[in-house]
Amino acid sequence: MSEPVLDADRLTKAYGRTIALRGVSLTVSPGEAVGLLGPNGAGKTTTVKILTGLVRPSSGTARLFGLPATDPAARTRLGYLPELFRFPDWMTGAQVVSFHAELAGVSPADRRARVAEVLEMVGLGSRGGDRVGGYSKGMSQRLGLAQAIVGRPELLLLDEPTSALDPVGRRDVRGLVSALKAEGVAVVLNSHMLGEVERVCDRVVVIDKGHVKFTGTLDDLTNEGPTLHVTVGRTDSDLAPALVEFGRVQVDGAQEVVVTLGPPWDDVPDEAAEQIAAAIVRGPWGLRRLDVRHASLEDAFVAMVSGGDR
Amino acid sequence: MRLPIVRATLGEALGRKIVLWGWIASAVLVVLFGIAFFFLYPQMARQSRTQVAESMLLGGVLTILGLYVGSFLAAFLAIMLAAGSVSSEADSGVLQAVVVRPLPRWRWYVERWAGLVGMSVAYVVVMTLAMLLVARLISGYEPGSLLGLLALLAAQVTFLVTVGMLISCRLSSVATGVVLVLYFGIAWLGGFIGWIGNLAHRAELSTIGTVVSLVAPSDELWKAASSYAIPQGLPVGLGTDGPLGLPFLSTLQPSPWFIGWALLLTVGLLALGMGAFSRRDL
Repeated sequence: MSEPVLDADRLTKAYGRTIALRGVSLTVSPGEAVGLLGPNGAGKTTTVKILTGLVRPSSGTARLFGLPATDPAARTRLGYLPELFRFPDWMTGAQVVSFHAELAGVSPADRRARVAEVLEMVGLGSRGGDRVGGYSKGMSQRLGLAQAIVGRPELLLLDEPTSALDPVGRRDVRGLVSALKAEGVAVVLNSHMLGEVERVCDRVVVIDKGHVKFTGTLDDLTNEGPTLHVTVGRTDSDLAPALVEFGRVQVDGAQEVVVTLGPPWDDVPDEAAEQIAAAIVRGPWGLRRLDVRHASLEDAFVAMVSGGDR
Repeated sequence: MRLPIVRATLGEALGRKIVLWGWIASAVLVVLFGIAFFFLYPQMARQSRTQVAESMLLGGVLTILGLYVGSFLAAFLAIMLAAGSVSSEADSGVLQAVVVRPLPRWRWYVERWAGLVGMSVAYVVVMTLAMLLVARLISGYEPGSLLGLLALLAAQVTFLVTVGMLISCRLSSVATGVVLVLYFGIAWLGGFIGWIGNLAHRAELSTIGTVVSLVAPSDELWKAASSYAIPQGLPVGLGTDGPLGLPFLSTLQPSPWFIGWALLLTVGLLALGMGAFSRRDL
């Protein structure tokens, strides 16, 4: 197995009496896309800042490419888009990217062509000569992405990369991140846009109250079986036992029943739906409506951060 | 690498209105200085021999007063530039994308310091030369040592930028500006107390002035610079050391110990700032 490009081990961070992180561990392999999820104040941005060397952990270690994150040499192959950023408004977009290219070690001979290339990639090809002061919020975010990728990073940390973008812009960024990932760039995506994480990432890490509450694939996160939402004519105490063989049954009021399918029915939800419908029709309850719903990342995320640990 | 942070610092400052207004105010000062000199000096020179000596004295005082105001403006420019040098960059989010580059933090700090010092020094040198040129064209005024004068004025603004950047690592821009102005004011007040102590032969006041000048040497650096501005032949005793003493200049050659201390303090504060910035969470 190849060495991880990012390895964080039991990171903690306290700001005075406020504890932001309580032992966060995280590894990212080359070419892997990992989504950082969590509610506001969960500790995601603090984690990202420790990984970039902006913030020093109270304890624990953060390593990039095998080197401590605070070592400048560790950041030669890192691209980073901060959550909150501003670029000098007296510079043009091309000057900003060129400045970052120089800092990232892009050779003077390559710099001009590379700057033009990344501006084109983020959709600012025709606006690179404009002063940043005249950029919209969305353009600034595209510029932020351009400076993050100009040094041809092997690890890209993106902190809310699409928060200021319209749907078209979000789609463009998703496409760009997917293309970089296809080229072997590892991506850590800190985003509130769950759909974005769902489309781009191989793996998610859910952080809540400074703890890692879940780490695994999206399938692992959403593997709670599909649910059947049933409306019946009436409910009674015999209804739940009649359906319990299909999974967890929750009678919700006088007419609503939710069955969370368990094995083996969770692999064949349509067949389970037929069997449940038949069972209800055989009994005294009367079937009015039955829907099969698959758990989304959002459902799983909300359940996780508002419920207990998994 | 070709000092990208220095270039960015210079470019940023040139684009900020503080520098533009600084130059406008300075141009007005030089013009006013020239007008005053133009009318004062020829009138004095036409008068009797003793009055010529007086005109020489007044011309010298006028020149040094102009230089004093110029150094005051340069000090405030240094304070304004340094006040937001770290904190505003961090608070606005400019720094975060820059310091994650493979660049040691101390390097960013030193380059930024060099850029701000370069600007402040260029400003005080140009201002001083402009006023000395006016004085020379009208009266033939020659400072005792142009190099010594410029070097010590440069040391003063360098010191203020160094202190300002260190404070800016911890406090907001506004708070840094306020603290720096107070610090500058304390240095001035210490110099004034020391002058009164010398005038009244009160050793305790002189001691207070000396202690303040060691902790906050900006005023004493100006006085040291002013001793090099005084031309040969100007009456002795004009400065803080004599009966004709003026609180804003000195005719005594600066102590090499004091100059050494001021330079050591500047280097020490720069090193402290580098350490503070390297440890700061952004």
